Amino acid sequence: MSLDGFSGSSGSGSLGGAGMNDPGDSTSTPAQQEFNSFIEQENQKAAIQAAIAKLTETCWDKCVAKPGSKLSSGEEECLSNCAERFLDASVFVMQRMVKKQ
Amino acid sequence: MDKIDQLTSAQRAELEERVRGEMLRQVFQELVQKVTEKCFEKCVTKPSSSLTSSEQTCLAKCMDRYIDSMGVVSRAMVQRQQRL
Repeated sequence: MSLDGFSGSSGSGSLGGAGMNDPGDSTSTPAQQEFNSFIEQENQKAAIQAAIAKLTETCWDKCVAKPGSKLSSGEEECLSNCAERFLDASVFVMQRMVKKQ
Repeated sequence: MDKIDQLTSAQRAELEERVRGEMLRQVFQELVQKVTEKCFEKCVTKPSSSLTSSEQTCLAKCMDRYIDSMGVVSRAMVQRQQRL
């Protein structure tokens, strides 16, 4: 089993590879298990960072036309609505996709 | 390095440190690349023989606002997650 399942949507920054056993594998030693869960954690962090980067890019394009000396309250509101609605939209699409199957 | 247990715990700690450092370096590199792309788009609309001072001012502002935006977006993601 590969360890990069969590960040499967984005190839970037995903760790994992040959010779590393499943955390639950009976043949793996405590040291291996610890190391595997470390890798798992790093993969999760990378996936979250990748999601933040992607969302920032999308919402920046929509919300910040001309960068000023600070984010205006309108821009801030737009960014935060954009991020939240993007997540709503992804849940919506996912649910509808499942229903269609 | 397919046998982690052949490493001493100090070696393993060092390996983990290097992995963390490498992950951080990659995040930083991707951020620099993205900010350059986004801010070049906004600030250097007609590239001339050098970066003008107004282009540099624009790049600096754009970069700071991009990083601010990242903060707003990640806070919003956390908020949205908590409401699930």
